[in-house]
Amino acid sequence: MRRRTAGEPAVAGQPCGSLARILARIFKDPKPEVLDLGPLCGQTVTYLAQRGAVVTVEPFDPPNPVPAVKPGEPEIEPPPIRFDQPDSRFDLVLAWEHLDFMPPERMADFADEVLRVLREGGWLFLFSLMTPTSAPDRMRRYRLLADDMIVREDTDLAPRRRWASSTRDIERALKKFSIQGVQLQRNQMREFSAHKV
Amino acid sequence: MVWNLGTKDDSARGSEPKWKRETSMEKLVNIGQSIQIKGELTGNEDLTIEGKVDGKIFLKDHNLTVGSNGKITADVHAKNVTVVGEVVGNITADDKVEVAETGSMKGDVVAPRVVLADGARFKGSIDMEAKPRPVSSGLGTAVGGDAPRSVAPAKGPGNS
Repeated sequence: MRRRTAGEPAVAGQPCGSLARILARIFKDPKPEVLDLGPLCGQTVTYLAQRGAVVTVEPFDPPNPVPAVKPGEPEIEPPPIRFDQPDSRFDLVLAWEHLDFMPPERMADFADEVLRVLREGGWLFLFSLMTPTSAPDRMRRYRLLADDMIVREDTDLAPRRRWASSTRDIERALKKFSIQGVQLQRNQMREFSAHKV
Repeated sequence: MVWNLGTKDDSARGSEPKWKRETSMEKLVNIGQSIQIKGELTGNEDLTIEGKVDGKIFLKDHNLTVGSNGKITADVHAKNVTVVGEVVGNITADDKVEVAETGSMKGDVVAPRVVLADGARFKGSIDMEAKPRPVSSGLGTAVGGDAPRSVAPAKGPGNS
């Protein structure tokens, strides 16, 4: 695993220990497959690709909430959450902040779809904001500077509602995974690393 | 099929000797906005596409630029490929693939060097030939390629 050294110039970023541990594991395979759900950060993609990974980028747009059903009306079937990827292909799915922008009732569907595309032993990595916001927010882009150092950057994406669910609700949504770590960062973001067993 | 052999800055070259103009024109070929090509394109010159191409493009040892108005639905093999417009198809480059901020690309990329601008639209996979990583530490040497050596501090509200 590559870490910053004492003599290395300082860069603005957040330590990101969970991701560093996942990368150390997946790069034991000389050519691991990584799925990045966006927003696209070119440097992150090329960083991982230069380490030897095959990086697939599929920008994912979180679904809208399921409309409430009035009494007597039939239930509306929400559209399925589906990535355009084959089953059991990836060693790592980088979901960044997607779970925060997912309506709570769709989080488990999202987790199931990630589970479908992950290989056995594969990893899911995501961030979630600790404190919910009432105002619409933009999904951020993550720039990987080193295995253990990441920068969170603003984007020009349209603002959307950020649900920012509780740790317990996220753990429930990810119940088919083995959650390996939940770490709180200085910027109030939680790092989740989960393993497909 | 009509080829527009004029360079973008023909007017500026009016004062150049004829032999010099001809030499320059040999090295840069444009497919203009109004041109549509269906089929296989091969060549031994650098090519800029501003029109539409459906099929295959093979420019061994030469560069392909898909201009801002260019739309190609093709598998591409070239030395360097720069995408400023739109590409649907797989790209194999012997040296570098660059997708600019205004570029849109749907397909797989195989190249030793890849640059994706942050505003670019990209859907597909990237496979770069793994180079031996230098033993010496330091972010720049470890990241290598065209990745920026340092990054300005992010100003997002969540980034303390």
